[in-house]
Amino acid sequence: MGIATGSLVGGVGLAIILTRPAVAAPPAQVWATPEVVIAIPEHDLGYGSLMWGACVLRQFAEGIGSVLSAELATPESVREAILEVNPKRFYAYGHGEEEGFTLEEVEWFFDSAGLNLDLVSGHHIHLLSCLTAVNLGHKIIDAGAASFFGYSQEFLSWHCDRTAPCGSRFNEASFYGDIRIEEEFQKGETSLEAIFCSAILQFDQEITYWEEHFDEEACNGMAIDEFAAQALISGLIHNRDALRCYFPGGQFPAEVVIEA
Amino acid sequence: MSREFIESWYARMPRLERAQALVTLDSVAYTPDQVLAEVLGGTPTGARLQAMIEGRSFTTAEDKYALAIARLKERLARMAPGTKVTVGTRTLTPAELRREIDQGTRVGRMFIEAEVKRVEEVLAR
Repeated sequence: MGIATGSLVGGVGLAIILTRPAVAAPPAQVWATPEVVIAIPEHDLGYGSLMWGACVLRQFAEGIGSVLSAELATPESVREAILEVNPKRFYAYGHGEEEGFTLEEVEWFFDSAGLNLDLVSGHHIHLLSCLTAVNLGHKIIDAGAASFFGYSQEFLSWHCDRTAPCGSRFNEASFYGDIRIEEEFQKGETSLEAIFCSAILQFDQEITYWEEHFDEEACNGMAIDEFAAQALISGLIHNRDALRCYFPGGQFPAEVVIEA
Repeated sequence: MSREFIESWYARMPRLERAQALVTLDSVAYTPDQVLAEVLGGTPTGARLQAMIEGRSFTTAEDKYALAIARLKERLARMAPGTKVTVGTRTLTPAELRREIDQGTRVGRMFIEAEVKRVEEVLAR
């Protein structure tokens, strides 16, 4: 605890202000409405890469009026939330790979061998995660999900450090295309093709924005330069082209088949 | 070949791209700003660049790959060090990403491929 002194304008002339070290807010990682359960883990065994997207997803969760369901997105608490709410959709953020998806502290939640795949039947499953569209997404559809949205490659996000995760558009921009999927669901859109195309359009709109307005944006008080904007755009192109939507009997982008 | 054509092409180039290498001729990369200056200056190189742009016969796949690497390396060398990218569990500085590209790692190739797409999309305008 520290003590600071200062004068109060129009006051008694001297004030003693007691200050305390900032206390971190408790985690708020599992959110729910009757329509959707959202899992937003923030910690990943010290790698430190989840916080940049967690902030953006939390803004979305709060914006749609969801309520806190559990403080930590552990596999157990998320499973419990899905069973309790029985939502139409499950939207989760976390590290992933071809065969699996993880939550808080990189603990497995889904895997291709069947872990928690009993939860997906009839639901729209959306994983903001690396590589889960390679194989896990197909397994999720095989297990009865209505749809799967995910990425066939690593998901990239650019940020400037020494800035709060939601401290600038530069830090948030990588995630807007993905969040558009949930915004479309939230508006009541039922066409998976329309939802997929809207997400692609959001990536493209963000690319166009940075092409023309990069120097109107700043990070930590410094204007974004052309090099950072170019890097961000390449990342947006990469994420856009890695986005996949699977559903029973098909996928977007449509798979090209060569007739024998 | 009209001067209006190249001015219209230049006008379609995003502001962010006008000073970036985009078109390769005889292994030399030109920015849209340089293309416009060559064409308006009436140089032989300008005439060849304009013919290439009018014919939309830009560059081979190999040229695009080399151009993408050159663009990435120049960018990463000039980016502020506090700007970082997360790739899965890894967070890379521009210098670290440049090493990935130099060493031809999977991550490095991923960034090169994204840059090739970027070049193609801008040239398609």
